[in-house]
Amino acid sequence: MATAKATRAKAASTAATTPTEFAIKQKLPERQEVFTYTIIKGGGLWYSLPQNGLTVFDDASNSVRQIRYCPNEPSIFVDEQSDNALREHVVFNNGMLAVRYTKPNLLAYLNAHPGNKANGGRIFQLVDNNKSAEEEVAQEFVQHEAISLVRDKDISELLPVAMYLSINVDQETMAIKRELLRNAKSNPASFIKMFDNPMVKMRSAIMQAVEFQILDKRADGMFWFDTGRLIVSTPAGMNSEDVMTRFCNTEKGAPVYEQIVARLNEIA
Amino acid sequence: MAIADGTNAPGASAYVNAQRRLDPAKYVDLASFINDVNKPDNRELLVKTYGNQGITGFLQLTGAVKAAGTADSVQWWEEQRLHPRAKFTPTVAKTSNAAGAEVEVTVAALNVDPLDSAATLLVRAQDVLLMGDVRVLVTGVTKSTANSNAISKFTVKPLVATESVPDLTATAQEFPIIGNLFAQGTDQQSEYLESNVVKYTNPYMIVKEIYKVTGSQATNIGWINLGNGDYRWYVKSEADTRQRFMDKREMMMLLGQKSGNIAGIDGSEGYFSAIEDRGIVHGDYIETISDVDALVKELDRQGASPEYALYVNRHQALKIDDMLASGNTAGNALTSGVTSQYGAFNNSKDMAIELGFQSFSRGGYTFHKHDWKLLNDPTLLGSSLAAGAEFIGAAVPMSTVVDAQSGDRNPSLEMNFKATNGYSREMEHWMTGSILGASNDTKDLVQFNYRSEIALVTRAANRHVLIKKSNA
Repeated sequence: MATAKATRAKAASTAATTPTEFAIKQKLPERQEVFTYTIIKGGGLWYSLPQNGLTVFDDASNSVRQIRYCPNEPSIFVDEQSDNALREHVVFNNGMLAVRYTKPNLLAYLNAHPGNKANGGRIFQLVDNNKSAEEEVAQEFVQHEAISLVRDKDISELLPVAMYLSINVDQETMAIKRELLRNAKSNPASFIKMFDNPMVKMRSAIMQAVEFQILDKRADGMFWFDTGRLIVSTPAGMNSEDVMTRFCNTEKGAPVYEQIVARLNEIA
Repeated sequence: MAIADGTNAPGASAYVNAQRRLDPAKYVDLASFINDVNKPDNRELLVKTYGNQGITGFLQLTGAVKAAGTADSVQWWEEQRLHPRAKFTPTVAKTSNAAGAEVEVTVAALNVDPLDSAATLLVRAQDVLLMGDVRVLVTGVTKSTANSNAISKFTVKPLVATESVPDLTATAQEFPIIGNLFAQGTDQQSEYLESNVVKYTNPYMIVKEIYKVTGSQATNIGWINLGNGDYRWYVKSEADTRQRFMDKREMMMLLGQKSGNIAGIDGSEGYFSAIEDRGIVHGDYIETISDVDALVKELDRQGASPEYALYVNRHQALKIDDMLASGNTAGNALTSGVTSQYGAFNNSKDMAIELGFQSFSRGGYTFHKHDWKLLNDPTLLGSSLAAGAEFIGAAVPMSTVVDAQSGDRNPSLEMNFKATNGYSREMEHWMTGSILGASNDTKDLVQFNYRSEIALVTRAANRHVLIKKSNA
């Protein structure tokens, strides 16, 4: 018995001191070793980058300076290069050019080149894998958030958005959600913003008021249905609902909107 | 006797007209009235203000031949390099390798298609690679478990114990395979290289044009003698329409592009588009010998022709003239006007000069320079500013290339027209209407119709050079 107890105690002790969880160690590179540039359009199998008479605006000296790539010169500015500087062609093979960090002058030259997309050019661009990964992740997350809204929100909260998107609300909830889902996927960022946009709810109320004959929508303006009195006139070529929505958002239109909401609640 | 005036009612006379004009609103002086009856001193010759404006002829001058096509697209085959290089990207860098030590290189799978030698590592055990100046033997090759056509890793060992495998960073690497080495009594290799061929296709494109003239206009004569005493202006318009059509047809063969964006229209790959896809593109004006040298080195790599027709715009032509005239030519760096190669002109220098070529040589290549009207015409691709021109010129190899499939020698450029059983769509021209001999319509006019179904084949585009300047 004594031996068994001792064994159990040892096992317990071992469990207490030996961690069962561990953190994965990542070996991230200290620096980006290779920078890849690519021709945007029509580089063929061999493309010689324009290098004659290139000038850039230099912020530091507030002047226009000529640049050229000379492998043996640390600077890309012609006025800082030696008299014996030898120019070399910068060539893209199959539309690609990989430059190691050990050629900072070539990197500086490419980054300052007027043909670089980053400088407003249209000849070549830097392939930034990190940036594209960030953009893709952000895009996926936004889309996921938009889809979650359709899944989690109550139908009463979804209907104003559905009406704003001109989705027929006189159908089954799932059918409405399906159409909302399509909108959420195609343009997730603006879809999410709609839920916080007071104009969306306001416009849906006005559309409902027209439907329930509280308001009378005509091409030249929005009128009270019962009295036929004009609320706001619509300029030629504009939509009466849009004009009415903007009107309700003004100080003068606020009481009108309150009245519409009150009448809609009476119907419910 | 009264003078009939076509703008007034029958029977009205000039006298009556003069009377009518005498009210304050319509008053004209006597001299103006007399001008109506005086014959103007007319010069009937038509001034060619802009010279000959047609641009057609580049393709024929550069040796492009015509051929008949019998399908919706034309296909041709091009062989690949005889000696594939060992191309790979190590997944982990192998640096500071010990002298004489064997190094295992794990490679990223580039392509699982064994026929695409351009993207597939084709190294075999016992191959000898030249890594810089170090000869290494491939001691082992491991295939991917997922695809037996792809190599996942291989090991290399220097032939000499005092040398080490050079640093292999995790970037694209490329080394020549110089041969192989086997020990006595060993078996043959288990794998062999299959020759690759690349198939290209180019759809035909349909180009059309029309011109119309009414019966009334066809019987009018004008002030201008259009040649041989013909004063009918519509004849000039019809001839211009035809020339415009020919020019646009040629421009579509030069500048056309395959279309993936318009329903029902496939487009067709033009000459420039082919070079931009798989040719040599010089992204700036050729101004210095250094520029020519860079080009010549690449032409060497592409097994290029010794003679090139260099068709350029005016800015480029002047820059080349400046280059040839400058001190750069000292020490026979360039030879101008005394080139030795005129094979493309039946070895006749005089013929080249008569055709408007100026020639210079560098590195064994002869460039016959010629102005390209298309690139100088301000209504087409020309620009008065050197910086404004997008397309500067092209260097066309003046030789034939061997077809990989048939072994036939073919010109670099081939103009294909749809044709079969005596019916050709090279240049269809017909008239519809009821005048000038046409009797297939009731309308009082004739319509001249033009139609052509064409496609350009650019063989071995890797040997063609496009000079273009993408303006930033």
